[in-house]
Amino acid sequence: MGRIVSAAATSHTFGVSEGVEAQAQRIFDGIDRIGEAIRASKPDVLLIATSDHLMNFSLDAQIPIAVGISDEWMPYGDLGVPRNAFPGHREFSTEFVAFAAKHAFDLTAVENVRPDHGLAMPNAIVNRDLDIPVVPVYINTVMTPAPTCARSYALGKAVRAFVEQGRPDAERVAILATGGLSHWICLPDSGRVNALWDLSLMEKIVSGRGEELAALSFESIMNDGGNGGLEMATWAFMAGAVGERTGKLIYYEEMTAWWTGMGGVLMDMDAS
Amino acid sequence: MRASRRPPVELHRLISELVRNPEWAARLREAPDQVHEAFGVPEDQRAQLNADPRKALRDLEVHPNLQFKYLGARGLLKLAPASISPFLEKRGPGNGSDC
Repeated sequence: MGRIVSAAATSHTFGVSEGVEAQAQRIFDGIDRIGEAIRASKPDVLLIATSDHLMNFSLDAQIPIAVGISDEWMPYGDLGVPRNAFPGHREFSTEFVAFAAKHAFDLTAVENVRPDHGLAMPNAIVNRDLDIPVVPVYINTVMTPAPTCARSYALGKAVRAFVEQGRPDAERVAILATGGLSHWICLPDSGRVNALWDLSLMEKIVSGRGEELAALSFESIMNDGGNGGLEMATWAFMAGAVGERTGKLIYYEEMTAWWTGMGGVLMDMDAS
Repeated sequence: MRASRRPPVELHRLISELVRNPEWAARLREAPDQVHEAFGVPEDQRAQLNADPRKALRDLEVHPNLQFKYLGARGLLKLAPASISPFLEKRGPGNGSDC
């Protein structure tokens, strides 16, 4: 059986640093610390759960959940992410889609995508040498209806089952969820940040109560975290993958200048 | 978005095309109504967009993420475009010793 050796979650956007230089640097450093821990866990494969931002997927064919299958990925290049290729893990992705089909998840396999900032920004920091094979897990909260946190949590559990039951001995798997925290995109509340909501969800996760994210409804997230807050479904995915593991808050900044809460957590995968 | 209301599909197609074809983005900035017409955006919607793009997108219930792209293409976003690149370039060596 394989093993999940590291797991984390982080916001995946960035804003202009002028006027908020110290906060911006702390955010970058926080993601960088998460990256150091993930690299130190020496993963053979890195699953990154994110939502596409209608760069690859479109409203013409609304695909709520998908898995990327490719030998190599090339970033779209938004948010200033360098267009440098990094490896995929075709075999892992293909086998996971097949495993999921037997466990109540008919995942859409996608190949010709160019990951936008949701995946590529954290990857550029975490996977700094671009040598860890990446499997994108698209939890597309931009779709209607958006994938629920409950469904995403269950998918995380399916990933853990796949790693433990379907992967080779000694395979080391890292999981990184990206997205959130509270932000309102092109809504009357744009610019609002709900730090209390952000911190309460992060506290649930690091205290081993990540399953509680599965209870978050679409309506409650829209009210408390905005439409961008729907991306917390990826954090629910990570929580499903790690179960009752605890962790620690790595960074949080109430970035009203960027119209979003920015935060990251790292799970302790050595804890019993 | 209310299920009973027809979504602004022409605008959705237009904005989705901006992502795939940057030439449309340039044309939208130079002559927005010509692009609206090219994608079959209804006249009443075009009038709204010409009067107040931000309000029109909201009133027409354009997908929020596509509103963001439309406003960005027209240079009307209030949030300035950002880049992670300077931070990537100046970071120190990562040796896994910090965690």
